[in-house]
Amino acid sequence: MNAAVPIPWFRTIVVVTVVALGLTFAFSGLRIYVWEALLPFFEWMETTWFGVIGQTWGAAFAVVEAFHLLAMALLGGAVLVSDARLLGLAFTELPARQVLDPAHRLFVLALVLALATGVFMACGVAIKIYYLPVFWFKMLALATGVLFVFFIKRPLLHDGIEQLNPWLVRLVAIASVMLWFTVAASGRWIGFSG
Amino acid sequence: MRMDNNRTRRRDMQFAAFAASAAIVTFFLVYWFIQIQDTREMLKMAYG
Repeated sequence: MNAAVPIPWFRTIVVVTVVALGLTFAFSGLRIYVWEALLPFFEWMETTWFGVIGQTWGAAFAVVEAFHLLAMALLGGAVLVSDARLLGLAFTELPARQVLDPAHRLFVLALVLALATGVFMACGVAIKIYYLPVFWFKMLALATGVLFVFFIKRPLLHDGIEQLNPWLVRLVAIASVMLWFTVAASGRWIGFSG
Repeated sequence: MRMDNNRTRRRDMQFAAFAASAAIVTFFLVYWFIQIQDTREMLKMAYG
């Protein structure tokens, strides 16, 4: 029996492929084609229970939005704490693992809450957000952020940051802060649009 | 052999992290720069 042979440079190949596919998608007609094809799905979202409740019962929408904002605050806090530690700006007296692991657990909890409440809110204003470019940009940043955390950042930091190049660690932290800042900022932008 | 594999895996991880982070930082810097420029132009059009 042959043991499974890991593909050399697997992650690098995946990252380069995803970036190339993303750029091709963004600068080709495929983007418009997919966007148009998604309209029936967004129309259906407004007819679901979530959509009807979100549109007709403002108080329910406001309560869910409050939990969404709390989740985003929690998520932002977890990101800032872990990235500040990676940048050497705070919590430097503690071992990195002692800061990064609890922050990641909090991040996962906040992400699940933000996604759950976000789906409800999206159903309530589905057609509005469908026509907002900033909503799609937020989804791009969110998807990139989730992939970045679980496919890049966590595996990279898994064996500890001591043997990593400090500049690489700083670059990863800056990319992480930029990503989640964009998710939060574009989320608020949706609130002030349309 | 196992050590070579581990070293390659670690280098792969670090190179992937560098490529992804550099792409993200570049993309979002360009994006926010364009947004700020657009906002400045709109403000100039509105208020001179």
